[in-house]
Amino acid sequence: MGFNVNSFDLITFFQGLRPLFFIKWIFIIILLGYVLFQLVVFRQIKSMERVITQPISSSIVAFVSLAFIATSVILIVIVWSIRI
Amino acid sequence: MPDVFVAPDEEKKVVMHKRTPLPSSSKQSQQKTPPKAAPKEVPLVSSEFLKNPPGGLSSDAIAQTPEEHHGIPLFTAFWQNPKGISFDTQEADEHILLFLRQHFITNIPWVTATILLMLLPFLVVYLFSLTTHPFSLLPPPFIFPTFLFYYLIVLTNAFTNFLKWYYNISLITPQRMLDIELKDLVDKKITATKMSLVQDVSVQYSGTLRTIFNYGDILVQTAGPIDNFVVNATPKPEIVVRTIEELIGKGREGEQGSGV
Repeated sequence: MGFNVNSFDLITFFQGLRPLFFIKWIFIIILLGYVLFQLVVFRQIKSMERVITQPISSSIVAFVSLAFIATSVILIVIVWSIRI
Repeated sequence: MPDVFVAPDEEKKVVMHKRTPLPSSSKQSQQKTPPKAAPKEVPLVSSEFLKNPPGGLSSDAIAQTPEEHHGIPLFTAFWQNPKGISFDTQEADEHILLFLRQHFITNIPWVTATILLMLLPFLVVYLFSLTTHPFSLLPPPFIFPTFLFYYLIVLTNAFTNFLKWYYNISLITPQRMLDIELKDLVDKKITATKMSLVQDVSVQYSGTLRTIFNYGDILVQTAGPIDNFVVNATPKPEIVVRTIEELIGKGREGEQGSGV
């Protein structure tokens, strides 16, 4: 019953790992973290817009923030579509 | 030795840098002002000083000057009498006289760093091409996403620095001074003080760049336990000091008038 320590072979375990698979998922996790960060930035921009209203320029700043989010989402899709 | 402009509490204390003539717009605005509209004021400084302020406009002149900016005010660091700008605690009759950010030249360090970091991958690829080593740090399918992600991070860093500059704003209205600051993208700090609590104002230029590009740190001393205001790297500081000093004077006159 349970995990048999004696049957666990460390060398076999590492040989069985597929580095590309891990690179892909590490990429995706980092990019998801990045999207989260950009969402916080976008929210903060909107919050600052309420504090001080500036004509047009605030919209440009918010648009740039959204462009970053969109780019990172596209990057996630690209990495996701990589076949290992 | 730093070049210091001291607020003119007394005429003797005034240290003038350059006596530049008033812009034509302010002259016109002063000429257009009807004589009967001018209230009886006891000037804090001589009439000669008021006629020719050191390189700046008076608060009245700023209030009458049409907005002064070109195009979209995305990179504006100094804006007199701004239109279309408002803040959440603004009162109905409160008019913004000056809209200030740090001088745009203060962004040069991160702009330079961004340009260098954007050129770095090309340099790395070029260096690898000179050697016999193949450029294979990553598997081929991941090279393009890695480059794209690298540029995303570099541009995000630039954007973050820009936002810190963009949302570091000081506003001067006849009633108060406001300082809005965005720190580390998660903290925002909004400080305000009434003009009646302002005791003194001074500006310090230190360094070659500040002298060349005419920007300096403005220190506004307030009464009581309230923290002093420091507005860093403000463009055209003589105009800002002049405006604040006039507003302080008006506040004191108003208090004296109401006391009698």
